Amino acid sequence: MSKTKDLNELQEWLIKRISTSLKVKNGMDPDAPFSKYGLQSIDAVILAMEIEEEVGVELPPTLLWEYNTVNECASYLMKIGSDIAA
Amino acid sequence: MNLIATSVTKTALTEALESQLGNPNNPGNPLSFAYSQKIDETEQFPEEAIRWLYDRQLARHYVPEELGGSFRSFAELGEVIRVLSRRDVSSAVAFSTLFWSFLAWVGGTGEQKRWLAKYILERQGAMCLAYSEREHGADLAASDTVAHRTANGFEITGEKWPINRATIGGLCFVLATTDPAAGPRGLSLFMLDKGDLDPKRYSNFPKILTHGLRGSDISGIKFESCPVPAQSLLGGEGDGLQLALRGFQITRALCAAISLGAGDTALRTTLSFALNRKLYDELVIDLPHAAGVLSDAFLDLLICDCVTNAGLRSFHVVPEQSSLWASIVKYFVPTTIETMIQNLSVVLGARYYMREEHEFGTFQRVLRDAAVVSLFDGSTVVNLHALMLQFRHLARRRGVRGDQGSRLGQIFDANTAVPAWNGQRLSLVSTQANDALEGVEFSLEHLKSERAENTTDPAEIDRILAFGQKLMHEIKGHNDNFAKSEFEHGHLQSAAMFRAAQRYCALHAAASCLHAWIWNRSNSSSFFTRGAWLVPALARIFDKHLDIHHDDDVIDAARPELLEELRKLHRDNRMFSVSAAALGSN
Repeated sequence: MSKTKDLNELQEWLIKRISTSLKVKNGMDPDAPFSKYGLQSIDAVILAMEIEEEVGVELPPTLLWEYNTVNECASYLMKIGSDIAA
Repeated sequence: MNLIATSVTKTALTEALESQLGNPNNPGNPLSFAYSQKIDETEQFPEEAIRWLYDRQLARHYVPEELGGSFRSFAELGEVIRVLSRRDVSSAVAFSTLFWSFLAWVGGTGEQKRWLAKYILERQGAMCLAYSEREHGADLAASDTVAHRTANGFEITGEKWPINRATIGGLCFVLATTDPAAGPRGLSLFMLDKGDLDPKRYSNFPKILTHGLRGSDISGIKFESCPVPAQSLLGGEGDGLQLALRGFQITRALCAAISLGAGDTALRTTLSFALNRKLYDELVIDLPHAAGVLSDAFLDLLICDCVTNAGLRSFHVVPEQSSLWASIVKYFVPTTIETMIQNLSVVLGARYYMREEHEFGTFQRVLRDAAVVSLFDGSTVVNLHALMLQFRHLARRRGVRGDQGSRLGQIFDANTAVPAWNGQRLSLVSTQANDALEGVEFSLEHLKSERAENTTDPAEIDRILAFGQKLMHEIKGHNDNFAKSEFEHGHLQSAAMFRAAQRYCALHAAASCLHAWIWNRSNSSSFFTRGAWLVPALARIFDKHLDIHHDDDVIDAARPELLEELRKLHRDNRMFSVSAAALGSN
């Protein structure tokens, strides 16, 4: 993930990442809660840990609980964006 | 660091409580089998037993020392629960709803904790956990119970069912939705004192007639726009699910102590029968089939004792791993003991089916009562699911981390002090690999390095090392499998995944037995530390739980020694456990 990622790119990356994990076939509504796509509570904590490893920045384990849509999550990652590894 | 020496006090606590309660076969004693039979047959709540327990200050074991109680270690609390459960599972379960207080010890403010401590210690308060709903069962996030903010606090509407002690008890921990749009952050946890509630705004559902725990208050509670004070919120708004999941980690492991007590009684009452009953001119215990079943049951209890002890100690040493250890213990111990009890029924024969024969019909009552443990507070399916979600990230964290030897020693060596428990270190998923599995190699090296000082027969050590190598091979296989896998999140997991999770628990059980022996064998000499049980126990786990078969000789060769110890423990009135604690005799 490049340092210069803008919000759109972050949203797309998240959609792709989460769709792969949840085997979502027909695209994700960026404003729908993740639970709509079958992401349950503990799953979400584990997925957050995996995302943390991939972006290389410490993220709260309840990331996908606190920011439980693609848009909210992407906005949060943008806010801490300057720390996100290249 | 504040260290809690548990081993010196652990047996002392058990034996003191056993002495107070006396022999359960004596109808004049509290929580006797006769009493247990009475409340089961009449389906009455065990009011006298509960009052006796409060009057003897036993509730203090659930309240931290710093708040005026005497809780210091989970292993000690487990012992108290085991002692109660071996007499009457209904009373043990009814009394032990006190363990929901850990929700407040973890998530409450100083004021809430002090209030709850007083409620328990001074007002003999009792509590229930109101999470389940008729339509949603274990799916907590799907709660239909709502809590709206008001000027003075909240207003709760919804129904909770089936709930143990919903009616007979003054306190309710209620999970309710405070923000329907916020997903997992939409739930909040309330600690409700019924004394604060308008009695017209809540009511109870009738007692549910159940297969076991017939003397219990399993009912429900309904709230209808019920105002609750703001200070009843535990943690912040939206913290409910996190707190609930962390609370379950504690109670799941403690539930195993209920199974251990029930298992001891099932074996003891069966053995009493087998030692006195003649069939075909032989005592039942001398019939090879019965002898096999009895010695297998003894192995099952020792295995489950190792798993439970280590689980309870691990909360102090590696609380970050508690989500793992708790679910493993909660799956493995109750299911193994329930199967054990079922197996024992063939030795008791027709009497197993009778409610008034042989020691107050205790066997059939324990069989029914113990069956609840694998069901409540996170069923077997819930716990296996919780484990399988973690396999991939655990496999990627495999290997040696930090001072593994020191952690293993603290978890498994009964003579080593454990650190004071820190509930703030509980984590929703484990951020560390499972020390029991990743530490097998270390413990085996430790065993080899002390070979010169071993009093154990070298051939026996070789057999133990051989099993250890097989165990490491299986653990590696599991890790290899999951490190590479594409894990599918969600609830629709395959049967193969459930089977993998069951096997994982068996690997942990085998590792727990190995570590427990290696780290305690230099402690004072006992049947446990001399170790004749270990190879048969490992063989039994491999055979029954991993489907990996060895020579029958391994277990059969050990049977005479196992039976001799079983007879000795029975004759000396000692627990069928690692500690072999002295039981109440009068």
